Amino acid sequence: MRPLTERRDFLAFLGAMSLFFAAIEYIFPKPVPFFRLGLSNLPLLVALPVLNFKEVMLLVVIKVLGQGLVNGTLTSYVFLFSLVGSLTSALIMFMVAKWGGSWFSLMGIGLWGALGSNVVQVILSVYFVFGPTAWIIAPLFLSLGTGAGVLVGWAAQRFTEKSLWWKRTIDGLST
Amino acid sequence: MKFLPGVKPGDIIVFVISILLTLGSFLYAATGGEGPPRVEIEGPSGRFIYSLEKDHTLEIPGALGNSLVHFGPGGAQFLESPCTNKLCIHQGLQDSPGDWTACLPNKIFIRITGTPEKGAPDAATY
Repeated sequence: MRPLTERRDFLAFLGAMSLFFAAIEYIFPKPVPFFRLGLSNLPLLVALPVLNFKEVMLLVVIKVLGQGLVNGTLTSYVFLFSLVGSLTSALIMFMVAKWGGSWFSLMGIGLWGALGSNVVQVILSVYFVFGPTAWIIAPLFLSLGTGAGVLVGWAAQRFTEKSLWWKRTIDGLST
Repeated sequence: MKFLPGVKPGDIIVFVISILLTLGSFLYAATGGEGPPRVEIEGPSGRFIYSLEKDHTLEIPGALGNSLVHFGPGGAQFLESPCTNKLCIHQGLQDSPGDWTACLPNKIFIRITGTPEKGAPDAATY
């Protein structure tokens, strides 16, 4: 596959991959209502070192809109839930990659993102969606989120280490 | 790190933070809820607590419309809900204290509370 050199093409490709992973994720049975593995964060995670802030936010909006369309939740609370969780996660991952990149591999950055997203979603559930009863979701959300964050981060780390196509794309990307 | 290739020191720190938060949330969630098993239903119209001694089927008003909830000695579950993906219905019966299910689009949350009856069979019995 030819490496992508234009940033616009690169972003479009990442957006399309996010939608692809959102569709793949839809296949898996959900152990907990509204919990997500975060597979659609993979393209964002691998590209984090080369994206600027505006590009990260644009990719998140493309991803969340796409997920809403794929899952049929665009006009429900699930969309708001997903948007806030994804924006928080992306913001945290961007800051960790920018200022703590030498301390964290993509596994650690992915885990920060999962942690941020899940904590914010638990808080949203309690204060804006359901009420105090919803604190009970925290243990499952956080434990599953930790596992999923490690898994997605590990996959991102392996991909960036092994893929020659990815290395050529990053090296040849316009600034 | 030699024993974990590719892992950096910060990864271990964030992993430990995640584990501590998870353990803390388990401890928090395990507190309270004593007494006979009952169901707590929380929605836009308020919070309702019912005994699980008798079978009941209720319509609970939500953000999109009414959800049909059944509860009784066997547990509690969504029977119908006006959401699109019906994940809440697919979650099935919640039958033990600590179990929960929810319909996010319709903003209805169901939780079983109380302590299990002494001598009640558990999964290990089978």
